[in-house]
Amino acid sequence: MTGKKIILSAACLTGVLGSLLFFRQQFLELGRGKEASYETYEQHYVMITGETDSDFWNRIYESALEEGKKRGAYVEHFGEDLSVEYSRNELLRLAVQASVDGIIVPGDEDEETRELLKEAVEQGIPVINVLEDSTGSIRQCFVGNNGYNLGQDYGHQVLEILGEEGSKETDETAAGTTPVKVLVLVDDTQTDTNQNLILLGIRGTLENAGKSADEVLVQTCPVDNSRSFSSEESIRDIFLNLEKLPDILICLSAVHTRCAYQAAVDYNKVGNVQILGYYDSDVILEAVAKQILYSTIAPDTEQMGRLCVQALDEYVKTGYTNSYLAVDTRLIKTEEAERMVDGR
Amino acid sequence: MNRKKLFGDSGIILKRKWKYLTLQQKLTALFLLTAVIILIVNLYMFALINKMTGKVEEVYISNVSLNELSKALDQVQNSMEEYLNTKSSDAMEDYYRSEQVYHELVDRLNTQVTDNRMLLTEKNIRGLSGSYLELVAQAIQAKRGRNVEKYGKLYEDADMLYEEILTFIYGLNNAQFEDNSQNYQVLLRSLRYMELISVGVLLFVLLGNISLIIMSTRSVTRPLQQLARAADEVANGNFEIEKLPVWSMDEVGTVTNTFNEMVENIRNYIEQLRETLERENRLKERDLMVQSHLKDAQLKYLQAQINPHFLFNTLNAGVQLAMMEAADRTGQFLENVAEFFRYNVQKNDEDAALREEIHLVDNYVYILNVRFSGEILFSKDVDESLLNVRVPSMILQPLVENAFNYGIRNINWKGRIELSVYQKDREICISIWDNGAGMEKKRIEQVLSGHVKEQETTAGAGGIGIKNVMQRLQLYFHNQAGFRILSEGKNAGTEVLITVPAEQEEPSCIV
Repeated sequence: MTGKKIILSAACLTGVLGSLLFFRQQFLELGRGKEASYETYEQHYVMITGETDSDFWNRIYESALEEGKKRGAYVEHFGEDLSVEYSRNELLRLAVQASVDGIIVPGDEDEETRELLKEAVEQGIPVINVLEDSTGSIRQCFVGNNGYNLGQDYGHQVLEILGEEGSKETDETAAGTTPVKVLVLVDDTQTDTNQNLILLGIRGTLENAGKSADEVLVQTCPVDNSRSFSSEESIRDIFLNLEKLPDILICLSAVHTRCAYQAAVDYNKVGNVQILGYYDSDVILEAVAKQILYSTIAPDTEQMGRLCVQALDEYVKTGYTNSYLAVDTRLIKTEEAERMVDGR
Repeated sequence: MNRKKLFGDSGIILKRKWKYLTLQQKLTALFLLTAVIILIVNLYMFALINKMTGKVEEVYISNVSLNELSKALDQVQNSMEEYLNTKSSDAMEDYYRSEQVYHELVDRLNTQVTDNRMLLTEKNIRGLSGSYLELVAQAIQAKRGRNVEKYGKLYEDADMLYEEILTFIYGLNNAQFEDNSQNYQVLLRSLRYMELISVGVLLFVLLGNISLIIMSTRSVTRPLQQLARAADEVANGNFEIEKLPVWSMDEVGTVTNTFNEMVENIRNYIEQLRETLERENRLKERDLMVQSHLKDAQLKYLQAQINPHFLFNTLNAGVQLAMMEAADRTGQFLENVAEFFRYNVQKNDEDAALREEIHLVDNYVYILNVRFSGEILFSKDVDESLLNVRVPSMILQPLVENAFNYGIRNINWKGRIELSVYQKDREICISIWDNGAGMEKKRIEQVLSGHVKEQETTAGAGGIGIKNVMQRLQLYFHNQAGFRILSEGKNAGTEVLITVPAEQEEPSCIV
């Protein structure tokens, strides 16, 4: 047998074996299930969020999840995959009954919530309130905006608008015909002190600037949040009732901001009503860039999620954590919004 | 290294075995080998595909077990309700049994914290189930203690949790169903893909087999082709081919061996034949040499016998003596004899002009007439312009001598010899005619073909035969000379006619 023949035979043999191996490899690749690839963690934390405003909460959740993975904990978005939409308190109870290692949940002033939080803590499950606090409960920590500071920021924005308009309409205001109406949209399901602190901040800022109630009238408008889609209807009502229509509308949640902005466009009130928004989703940023919204104040969602897990982890490991962690906010105006929209 | 050696050894053994297989065995082995390869590959792929089909069947098994879980949960709930309703011992038994089953099923659920949604839900279900079973146990306990308010509240809680656990199971079931459906789709697609791949692999293996067959059959047919080529060469007369190499010991090998031997034998035979011929030729040559030497010896002998100078001087002395004694005729006779012999001695190896040849004939006829008292009537008819033509020496005298000896010597009538030289067309004709005994046709043929005994054509001792004359003429004129003997038969006289080309080429110097 010549060398050439040996090489040819070897090539044939290798080809056959190679193709068989290839076949086997393909088989094993296909047979391997997806569920096989997962990682395990030491702690099981759950995050329970509101039913609305998924984008906002998703951002916080993603950040919390990432931070949790760094710390050997898995943060579950509890109740998200269920076919039945459970209320926040129901989910809280289920989380306690499922014996998780830690709970992150937005608080409220509801007594039932306080009870559930107490139950959880008694069972050794640490609870962190995020964004909204449940004052008087025995939760381990509150991670959120400083309501009074937020209110001050809105107040400064109001003053800025008043300054601009004042220079335009000096005569009218000087004559004292009607005070400038500032309407703050508040969530009527949440008897949360945070909202009060915000109002306090706004009012305080205006008073400090020497604006009396005759000049600037700060009112609150409770938005019905009890049913699905009801908040949108409540906000539209404001725009439909021309007498109630404010000069400045302050929204304290991302959903309210979006509803107000859409209503202003639909009822052609852009310019008539200056809207101060909350949060920095793409839609809101675009609205700011188009000057439909005067400005928006965005909490640092990434920081919020991270701090929640940090506090939880700290408590689980050391038995101690800060009872309040402040999250930074950021004021976004037209120019910056334009830049951010272009950047994305 | 050892493995390499092992492979090498087994390779050599295989090669050796292969070499000694017959053609039929080789072909059978080849087809068996390829068939076995294809069979093995097929079986292997079938086994894999079969395994995959098994996997497809198992796809929905997790849904089945979840359904079992929810059924067990139902039974716990029902048996609790039944017990709370009736407080019957059957219900109690049912409760314990179903609680046990549910516990076992729940224990199989995942306990790890993972980033896999479904596994995490399992963990939650496990936790919730723990709380639920506790609530149920408490409710049953309260019922036993007839604490109506408490078991009512506990039942409500347990019922709520039961619904919620079902929701979790339902959610997990959905998620698993979705996942399993995806897996199922992937598996189905994979199966189709596997079909394609298996066809591809089979095609590849087939190609490999074909090349294997081509390679192996080539090892069988190549020696045949070589053999055919070699046979073709031999058929065309070329026996000087190289010995064909024998690759294997099958039928082709045997034929090749035989062919090699055959060619070798033929070659040897031809060689032997050539050697025999050469030997014969050498023998003939030697014979010729012997004859030639004999002639040479004869000549040397004659030369030794007669010292020409002594003979000339003697004859001249005779001439002078005859002149002194006034015997003129004797003197003339002796002078003729002296001239005859001088010419003989001088011209033995050279050519001569026709004039000299005719003069020699004159001398010879004179001597003969003296010897036989003028019996011969000799006449000449010679074209004077042809007297300078060069011819081999000593060609006319032997012919005249023959004409005298065999033609007219023993006849009863008056003998006559005529010599004529003339030109006809581009040839010079020299004719010696006698009216003597004549020759039969057969005899003429014998003389011309040289089949006559040497003595008969030799004109006596020291004479030169017809054959010799013919040969020298042909040599001198490069086969362009003609030599004919014409006779009407017995007693009809004979004419010897020599024709030579009129325009002579440069003749050969030595004749």
